[in-house]
Amino acid sequence: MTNSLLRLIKANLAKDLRLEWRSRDVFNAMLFFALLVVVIFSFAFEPTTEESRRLAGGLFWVAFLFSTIVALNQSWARELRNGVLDAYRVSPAPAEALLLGKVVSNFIFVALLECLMVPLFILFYNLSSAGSIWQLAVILFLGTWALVINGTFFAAMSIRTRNRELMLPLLLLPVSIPAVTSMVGATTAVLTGDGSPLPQMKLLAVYCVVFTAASFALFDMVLNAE
Amino acid sequence: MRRSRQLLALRHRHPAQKETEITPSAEAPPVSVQNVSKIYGRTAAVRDVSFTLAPARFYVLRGENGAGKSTLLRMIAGLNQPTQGDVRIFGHKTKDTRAHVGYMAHAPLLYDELSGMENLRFFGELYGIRSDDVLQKAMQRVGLDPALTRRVGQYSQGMRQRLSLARAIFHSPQLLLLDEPFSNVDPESSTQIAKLLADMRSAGNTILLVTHQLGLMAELADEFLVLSAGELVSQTSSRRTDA
Amino acid sequence: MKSKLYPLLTVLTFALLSYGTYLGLGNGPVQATQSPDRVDASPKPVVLAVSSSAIFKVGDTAIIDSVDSGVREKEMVIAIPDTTHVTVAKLDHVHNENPFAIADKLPFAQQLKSPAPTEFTMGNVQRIFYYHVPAATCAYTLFLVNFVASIIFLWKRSATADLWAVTSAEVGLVFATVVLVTGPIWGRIAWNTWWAWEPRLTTFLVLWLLYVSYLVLRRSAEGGAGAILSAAVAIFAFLDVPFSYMANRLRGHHPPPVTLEDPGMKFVLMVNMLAFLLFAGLILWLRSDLEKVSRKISAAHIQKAARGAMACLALPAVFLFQERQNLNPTTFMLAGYIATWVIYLAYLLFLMAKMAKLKKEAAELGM
Repeated sequence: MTNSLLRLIKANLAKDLRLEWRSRDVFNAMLFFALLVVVIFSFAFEPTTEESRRLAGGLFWVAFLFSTIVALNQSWARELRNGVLDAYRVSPAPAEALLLGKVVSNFIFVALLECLMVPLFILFYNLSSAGSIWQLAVILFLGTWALVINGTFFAAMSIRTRNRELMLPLLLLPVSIPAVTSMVGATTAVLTGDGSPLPQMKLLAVYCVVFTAASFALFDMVLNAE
Repeated sequence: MRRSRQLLALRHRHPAQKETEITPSAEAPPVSVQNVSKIYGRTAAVRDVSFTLAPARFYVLRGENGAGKSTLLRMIAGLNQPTQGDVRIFGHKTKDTRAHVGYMAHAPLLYDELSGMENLRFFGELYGIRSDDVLQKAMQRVGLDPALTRRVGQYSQGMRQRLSLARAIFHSPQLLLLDEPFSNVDPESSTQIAKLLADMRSAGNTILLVTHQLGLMAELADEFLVLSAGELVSQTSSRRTDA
Repeated sequence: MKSKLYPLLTVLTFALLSYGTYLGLGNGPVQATQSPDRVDASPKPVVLAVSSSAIFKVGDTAIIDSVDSGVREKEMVIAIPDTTHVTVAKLDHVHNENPFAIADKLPFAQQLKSPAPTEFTMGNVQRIFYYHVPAATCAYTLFLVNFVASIIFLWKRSATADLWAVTSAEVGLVFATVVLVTGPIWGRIAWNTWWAWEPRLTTFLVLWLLYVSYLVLRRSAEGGAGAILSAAVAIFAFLDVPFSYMANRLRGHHPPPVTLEDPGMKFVLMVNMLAFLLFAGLILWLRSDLEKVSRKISAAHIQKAARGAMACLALPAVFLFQERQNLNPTTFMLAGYIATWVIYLAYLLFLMAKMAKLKKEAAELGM
């Protein structure tokens, strides 16, 4: 059972990666968007080193939150083209495999984007971290997962509505506020070296676990809702 | 002979499925629709429809545009839930018999960016079918070359339709549901599809096909169901089988 | 809509609401004072130092209440030596909070007639409390109803559960709006800022946003999907609350919580709490009846509501007054009370309009 579920997740993941590799519509849109946000922020604030340490956490996550939204809509839009989602729904494969495949592929896209954007951030904002880089990496991982798991779930929901593109931010942003608060808090704590980021990282980890479980429990219902 | 083939096919099930999910009795009808209605907002797309389909027969569901044919077919495929009434496939709920049902929609239900075999390999995985042989055979049956590397986005309309049929039949479903398989298809593809369907029927599978124009179906069908304004108007045998 | 209970309940609710409002707005006798010193338990009479002994008479019952540690007892006042001391017959417990409260317990009949006293530090604006807190309780209760109804709906797929889910979300949002509007008006005086990123306040804002998206989703979902999708959102919203609270606690803003020590204030709060809960129940009932009729007439779109827009317009506007000093607490108190009623009446008007529309439609269909 688990073995087969893993295979299905792998099949979904491979399919998503291959589709993205051939069309690149998600990644390009996301990259360009994130780039624009970073450039515009740096024009708008022109921060000094001290200021940018305090600001960077917030700017960074806001940039990714918005680019994730761009990506997520696209990742489900391709399942609607030609009605392919119906082919999945008439098959005996469990809906959870579809969700997890997509979550992992979206996670890979966003993580890749972060790898490209982090050096740029350091460059533009003249950043240097006062705290541990490893902690930053963990925060990056947890924060990205938190954004992607809820984002993928709510994107699946918003494609069922009349005004698809608009609905996703309306649903995703309120639910993500606690996650964003803690990831920004933790990132700022590491960058500035004021206080410990650990409580916020713990909260973020629990948030990831709870919402991953909730998404799993409810996805089948959402996919087949009508 | 037919029964043993049926039981054999039923034993082949997706490993991800629970053990209790299905052992449809061969006696239960392939499709049983009881008092089914589907209401969207203020309009009823399908109104109180009941019928039963017998095994190993070819049914054609006719009706003008907007008569509710596709909605009814989607409910039988388990894609939509009836507002009222009950749909049973081999005596089971639609979600428990998915491995034994093939569904071909009006849209191709294929990924444009993948090649024919890549598409089938992905969908094969969903049904627990991992052997390329089975999938290649399905492609050959609809007259497509499995070695074709072209992406589906570059296929002609007829090729796409044939690949879509291959996707619906590669797991040898005992019940095949088709929605307008002959629209926008060149004559050559049409005859090929028609022949394949006739073969499948002779092999003991049940076929339910939705169309608004008879065309080739006049000769193939065993029975006609006529839907008008969401209601089942008639269920008649064709002259061919009566004779 | 024909139930005979309606008029009765309506009269009762509005009577209680007016009574609660009268108690909240009027100026009653102060019933509490503070004692600065630690005192030990003693079976013999104890002299307690107080800020003012004017509120006591010999023979009254004093409530000695260490709020934080929860030690609370009632003792007879046997003598009043001067303006800063009272003597009670005995003490059963140690009171070592600094300071702890000593209150005068009025006889019940007199309590019924006594409005809340004016709070010492915040002045009249504290009276917003009598609307703010009950509205918050109602909102939380209604959102809880929504959560439970959503789960029941997903489980049993019962249309009734869905009906209660959607109506409780909508009515809950009205009360949440009241909380969010009265909160900043009070905060401007109490915390000297319109908005503080205080955990409870922020949690409430997040909840408000979540339920706005809940209702928007319901209206824009295709076919019957809205009910299932929004039930899923309801569950996510419920899970979000503890995280929202914790995340903001970790940010480190903690304006002091408010505790009521004066029994008069407590009494007025309880009256208003009861009145608001009744009111919430009444609106919920009315709204669900409307929903029933509306579903009978059609499963089609529910009209868009304008509620909540008030808060969106009002909040940015108040920032214009940020700079002014020497604010008058009474003005702010009135603003809070008026804003509350504007929101309620706007919602009631919306319901009336809806009812009229449904009646017309029903008449056309000959129902």
